[in-house]
Amino acid sequence: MLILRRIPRWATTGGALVAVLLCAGLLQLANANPAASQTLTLTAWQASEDPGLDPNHELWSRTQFVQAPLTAQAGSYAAGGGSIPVVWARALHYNNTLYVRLEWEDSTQDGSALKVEQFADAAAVEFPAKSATSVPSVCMGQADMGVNIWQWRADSLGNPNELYANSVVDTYPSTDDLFYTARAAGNPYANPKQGPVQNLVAVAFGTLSPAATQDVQGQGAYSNGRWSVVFSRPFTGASEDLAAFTAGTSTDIAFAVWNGSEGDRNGRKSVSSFLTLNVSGAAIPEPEGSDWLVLALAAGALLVIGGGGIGLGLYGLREGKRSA
Amino acid sequence: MVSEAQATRPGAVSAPLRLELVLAGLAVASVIELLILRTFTRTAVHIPALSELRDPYEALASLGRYAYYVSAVLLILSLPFAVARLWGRGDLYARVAAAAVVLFALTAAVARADAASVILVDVLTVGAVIMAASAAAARMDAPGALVLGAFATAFALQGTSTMLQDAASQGYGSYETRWMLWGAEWLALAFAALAPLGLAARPSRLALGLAAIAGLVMFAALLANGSTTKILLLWNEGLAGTLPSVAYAVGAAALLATALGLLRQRRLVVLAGFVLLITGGIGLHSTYQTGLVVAGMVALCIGAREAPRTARGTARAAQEPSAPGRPLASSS
Repeated sequence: MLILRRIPRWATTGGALVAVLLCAGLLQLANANPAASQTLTLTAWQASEDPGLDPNHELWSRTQFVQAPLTAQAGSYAAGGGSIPVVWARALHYNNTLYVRLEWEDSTQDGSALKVEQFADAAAVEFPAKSATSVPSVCMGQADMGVNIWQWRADSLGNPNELYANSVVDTYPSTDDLFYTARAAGNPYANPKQGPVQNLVAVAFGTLSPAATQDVQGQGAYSNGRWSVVFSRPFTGASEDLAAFTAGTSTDIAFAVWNGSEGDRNGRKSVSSFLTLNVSGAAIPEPEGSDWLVLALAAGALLVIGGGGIGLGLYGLREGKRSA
Repeated sequence: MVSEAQATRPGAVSAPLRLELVLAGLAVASVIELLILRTFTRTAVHIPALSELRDPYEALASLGRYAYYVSAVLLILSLPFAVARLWGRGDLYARVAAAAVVLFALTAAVARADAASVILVDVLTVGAVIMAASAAAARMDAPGALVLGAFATAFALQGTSTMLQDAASQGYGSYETRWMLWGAEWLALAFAALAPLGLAARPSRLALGLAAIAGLVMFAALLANGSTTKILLLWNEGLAGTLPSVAYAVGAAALLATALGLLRQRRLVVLAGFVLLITGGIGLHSTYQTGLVVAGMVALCIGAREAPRTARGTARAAQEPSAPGRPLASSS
C-alpha cells in the first residue's frame, strides 16, 4: 500500500484501467462468461408411460408446472396482445419423444375463423434451431441462428363439416389440388393431411415458413375457461433448421399465446422470453417428499433476511433523526 | 467521492484505486453494455438489410460483448473493494452491506460452478439484495428509504416468483406467483416515479425538458412498436409491460430526471448506484445483473450522505448533519 501511495494517482488509475481492459479482452477471447444464468427453468421429466396427446392425461396432473410471464407483442399499434398474462407450462418425455403442455386462462373459446373479423385462439412454442450456436433472438430468430416454432390453432379442432354446419359450398367435381387454390399454392393450413400443429422455421422477421417435415403433433382442449394444449415431437430434428433434444441436456424454449376474441393474430400476441428447457433423465418426482421442508427453509431465510432488513432500515431512520 | 483538495491537486501522490472510481466505471460500462448488447443487438437483428450491414453490425455487437466483459471485470473488482471499505468503517449498516456483498460473491461463485441447488442460489441472491438495500435505506432519510424499499421489494417479489418456479422445476410442487409479478411491476414503477423525490435530485429546467422528451419517446415507442419495446422491457428490466403505456413513460422520464439531477448536484456515487439499479433491473436474470444491483446498493450506501453540491460546485457538506456513524463518502 505504501508503495502504491508513492506512485502518482494517474499512473495507478491508468494501470488499473489497462489491466481491467486486458482482463475483459482475455475473457472475451476465451469466451469465458463469469456469470451464471438465473432464468426460469422448465424441466421435461422422464415419463413412465406414453402421455399421448390428451391434455387431460393423468400424468400431467402429477407434473410440476412453471408459470411463464407473458408480455404484449402488438403488430403496429399497442392495442392488442398482452391479454394473456401468464401461461402454465409442463414438459415430459417418453421413448425419445418430447411432450410440452401449455395451459392458460381465456374466458372465450375462439375456435372459428369463418368470418374475416374472427380470429382463432392459438398457442406456440419456440426453440433454437439445431444449428444455432447461441440463444437466437426470440423474435423469429436471426440470420445466423434460426428458430423452430410449433403452432397450434383452435380453429383446426374437430370436423369442419360440424364446425361450419350451416355453411354451403359447391361440390367440386375434381379432387385434384388444382381446384383447391390454397392447397395448390402450398398453404399448409389448407392441407387436409396437416394436423392442428404447424412446424415452422424462421431466421428473422418475414421469413417464417413451413418446415420441410411436418412431424409435430398436438391436441387442444377447452374446459372451465382454460385452454390446455399438448405438443409432441420425436427428439431428433430432421434437419439443421429444426430443434433437437437429448435427455440430460438443456436448450431454450419460449411461448406465445393468441387470444382470438381480442383480435390477436399473426404478430399480435402475448409472448414470453426464452426459458431454459432441461430435458431431464429423471422420473417425475413424487408429490410427497421434502418439498415443504425445502420451501419452508427458503421462506424462513427470506423472512429472516427481509425482517432483519426492515428492522435495520427503521433503526437507521430513527438514528438518522436522532443525530439530526 | 474523492475530496476536492485531493482531486484538484496537480500530480497528486497517494491513492490506491478508489472504490468510487470502480463503481463509476462499472456504471458507465453497464450502461454501454445495456444499450449495445442487450438492446441494440437484440433489435438490429431484424433490420431488413442487415446482410449488407453485416460487418458494422458484428463490430458493434462485438463492442457490446466487450462492454459486458469490462463491466463483469469491474463488478468482480468492486466486490473485494466494497467489502474492505464497508467493513473497515465499523458501523452496523456498513457491515451489513459488506456481509451482503460477501454473501452475493460466494453465491455467484457457487452458481457459476453449478455446485448448489438453484433454489438455494435464488434465495441467497435475493437475500443479498435485500440486505444491501436495507443497509443503504438505513443510511437514507424516509423518502429515500421508501424508494429503495420499493425497488428491493419489487426485486424480492420477482426473485421469489423465480425461486418458486425453480422449485417447481426441481420437483418441489407448483405455486401460483402471478400476484408477485403484478406487485413487482407496480413497485418497480413506483420506484421510478418517486426516485426524484426519494433521492432528492434537483434537475435543472433543461434536464426536466430532456426527461419529458424521454417520456414522450418511451410513450411513442410503446405505441408505435409495442412488441419490441415491451420485449426489451421484459428482457432488460424484468418488467412485463402489462400496465398502461403512460405509466412506463412517466417512469422513464422520472428516471432520467433523477439521473440528470444527481449529475447536476455532483452526487456521483449516488448517481452510479442509481444507474446500476437500472442496468441491473428487477428479478433474477443472471448473477451479473444481480451483481449490478448489489453494487448499486453498495454505492447508494456509501453515497447516501454524500453532500449535494450546487450547480456552481459549492459543497454543502459542512452545513449538513453527519450521518449515523461516520460518513462513508469521505476519502479512503
